[in-house]
Amino acid sequence: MEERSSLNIPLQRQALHAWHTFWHSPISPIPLGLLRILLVGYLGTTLPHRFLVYHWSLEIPKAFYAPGMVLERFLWPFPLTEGSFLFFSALMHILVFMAGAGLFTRLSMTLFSVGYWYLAAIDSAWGWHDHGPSLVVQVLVVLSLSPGVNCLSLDQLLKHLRARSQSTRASLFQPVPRWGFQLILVLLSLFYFTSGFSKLRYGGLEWMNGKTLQFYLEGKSNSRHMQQYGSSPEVPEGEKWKDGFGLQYYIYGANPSPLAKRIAESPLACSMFAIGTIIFELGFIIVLFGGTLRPLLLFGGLVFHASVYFLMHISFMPWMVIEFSYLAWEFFRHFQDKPVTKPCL
Amino acid sequence: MQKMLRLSNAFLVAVLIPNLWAVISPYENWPFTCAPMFAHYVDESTPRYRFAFQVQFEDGSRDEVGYYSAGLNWSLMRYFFKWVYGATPSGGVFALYPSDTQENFENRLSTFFSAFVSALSERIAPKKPIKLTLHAIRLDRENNDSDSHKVGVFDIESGRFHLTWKNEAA
Repeated sequence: MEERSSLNIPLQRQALHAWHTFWHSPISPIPLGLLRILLVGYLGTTLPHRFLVYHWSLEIPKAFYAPGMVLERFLWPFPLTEGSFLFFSALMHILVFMAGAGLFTRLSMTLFSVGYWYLAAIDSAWGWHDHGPSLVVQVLVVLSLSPGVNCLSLDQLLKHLRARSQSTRASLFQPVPRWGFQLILVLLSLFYFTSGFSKLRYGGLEWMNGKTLQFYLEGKSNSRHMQQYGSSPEVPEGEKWKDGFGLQYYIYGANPSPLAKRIAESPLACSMFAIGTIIFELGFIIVLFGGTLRPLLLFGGLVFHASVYFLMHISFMPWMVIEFSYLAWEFFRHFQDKPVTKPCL
Repeated sequence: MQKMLRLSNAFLVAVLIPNLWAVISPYENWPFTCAPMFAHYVDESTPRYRFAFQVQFEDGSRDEVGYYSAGLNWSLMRYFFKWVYGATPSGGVFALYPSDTQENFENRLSTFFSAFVSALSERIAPKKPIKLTLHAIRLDRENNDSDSHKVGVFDIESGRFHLTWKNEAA
C-alpha cells in the first residue's frame, strides 16, 4: 500500500505540474489584446448580415425552429419584441466600439459575446449547422473572461495616463496566466482535429483517394439548388423500411469556382489536396507544443482557409483573424530582444 | 489567488467537456460539433438521393413544390431530413431517431407537412392543394432522377401523413 502510493505521488505531481505549466504559466497579454481588436472589429462588419438573417428568420414558421440547447436553455427567446430588438441592435453596435477599442473592456466584451452568440445561434436554428461561428462564439466567450483581454485598450491607456509611478506603467504589460491564450488555441486545434477525424470516421481511408473532394469541386453537390442525401451501398435491409433506400446523411453544398472545376479534372490533384487536408487537420494539434512549427501551422491555417474560399466560396474569415493574430504575435516575439513567455511544455 | 486558480480550472473543464464529447460521441448541437462537413465518402458509385414533394391541387393539376414554393429557406430540407424524416440508425451524427417507429414517423411528417402546406397555401392562393405525395428519388451520376420510390401521402384535409412504401413494397 505504502509502495503503491509513493509511486502515484510523483505521477500526480508531474501531471499537476504539466497542467499548471500549460495553462497557468505567464504570458504577455499583447496577443489577447490584438485578437480582441481584430476579431471584434471584423465581427462588427458582419452585424448587418446577422440582423438581416434575424429578420428573414421572422418569416419562417416556428414549426421549423430547431434551436441548439444553449439558445433554448440559456439565451433570450426568439423572436424578441420589436422594442427589445431595437434596443438589442443599438446596443450591439455600441458594444462593437466599446469592446474593440477597450472601454469597460471585460464587461463590453462579455455582453458582445452573448449578443453575437444569440445572433449566430438564430442563424443555425433552422436546420443547418453553421460551423464557422461554432468556434468563433466560444472564442469570444473565452476571450471576454481571459486574463489580459484588456491589453491594448482605452481602459489601459487611461490607466497609463493617470499612473503616477513608473511601476504602474510597467504593470500594464505584465505577464498574465496563459489559460485564455491556450484555450483558444486548444479550441482551434480541436475543431481542426475533429474535422479530420470525422473524414476518416465516416469516409474511411478512402476519403484520401480524392474522389469525395472531386465530387464537391466538380459542383455536383449543388445541382439546381437541390439538397442531396447519401447512403453507403451496404445499408442494412432493416433500415430501409421508410423508402426502400435507407438515407444516412445529407450531402453538403459547395459553390466551386472555375479553378476548382479545373482541379477536379485531375484525380491526382484531388488526391493530393485530400491527403493534405487530412494531414493538416489532424496535425494542427502540434501547434500546442509551440516552437518553430507553431508559426508554420498558423500560416498553414491561413493558406488552408484561403484556398477553401477561393475554391469553394466558403468563408472562414473569423478563423483566419484568430490565426493571423496568433501568427502576428509569433513574429513579434521572434523579433523581441527578450521573449516574455516561457516554453509551453 | 487560489480561488481564481480554481475558477479558471473549472471554466477550462466546462468549455472542454462539451467539445470533447461532441468529438467522441459524436453529436452536433450548435455550437458544439463533431464537424462532419464533407466527411462522408462520395464517388461515382455512392447512392445519392433527393426528396420530391408532389402536390395535387383542387383543380386536378399536379406540380412538384419545394422550399422555394413556400417562400422558405434552403435549410428547410436539412431540417426535414434530420429532425422530421430521420436518417437511418447507421447515419451516425444525423440519426436522431435510432429506434424509430412507423407511428412516430407518421406523426412527425404530419406535423411538418401541416406547417409546410400552410405556408405554401398562403403563397399560391387561390390555388388550393388537396394532397401531397412524398417521393425519395435516387439520382444518377449526372444528378438526373433514376429511380423514384413513393414514401407516403399527406392528406391535407385530415392533416395526416400515411407511410405507403412499406405496404407497396410488401
